Amino acid sequence: MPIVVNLDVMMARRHKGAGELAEEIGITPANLSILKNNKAKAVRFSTLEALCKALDCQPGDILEFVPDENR
Amino acid sequence: MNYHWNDRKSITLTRVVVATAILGSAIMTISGPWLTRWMVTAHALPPRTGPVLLVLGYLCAVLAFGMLFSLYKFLRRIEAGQIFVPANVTALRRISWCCVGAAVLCLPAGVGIYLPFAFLGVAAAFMALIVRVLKNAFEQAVRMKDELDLTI
Repeated sequence: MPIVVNLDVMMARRHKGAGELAEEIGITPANLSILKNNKAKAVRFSTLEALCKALDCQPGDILEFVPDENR
Repeated sequence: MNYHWNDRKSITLTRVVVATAILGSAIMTISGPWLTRWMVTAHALPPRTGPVLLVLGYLCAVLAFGMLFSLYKFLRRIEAGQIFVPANVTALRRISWCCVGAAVLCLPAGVGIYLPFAFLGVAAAFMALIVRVLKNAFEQAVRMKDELDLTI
């Protein structure tokens, strides 16, 4: 899929662990792992909003469009 | 005594009925030659129709077993909480084709041998249609569940 989730980059920048972030945004660590490893098929606006709040960033910092030919 | 009826007990009851139908089909298959003789005598059919009825009966038995075993496995999966899974779509497709097969066998038998078989054929064709619609709904549900499972 051409949408890449750069959650690990943002987490490293904000020095946040997966467990801590999962608890803060109210999802399970397993679901956070699915999101982090680009296995998710869709992201709810509520999850995106919670992520942006917790990581103090914009949706564009987490999600990136990379056309297939560039991957 | 306080007795509560619930979904689980309903599925178990359906499974028991399906198992009974499998047993009934097995008994009818074993007593096929006797049944066809009785059919020919009781309804004053020409004696040459006996072997034809027997072959048709055995072909329908194969379809009935295929359908009933698929239905039984389908109910076992529902009991285990596996509802919108591809295996259930396959089972419904198989059940639908078994009904189509029964309709194809019964309709000519109704026209050529004994009219009530034609009604049986029409009923089987109608059931095939209903199961096919159900199969299409399950197919869409499996796709939606797949999307939803990976929506975070």
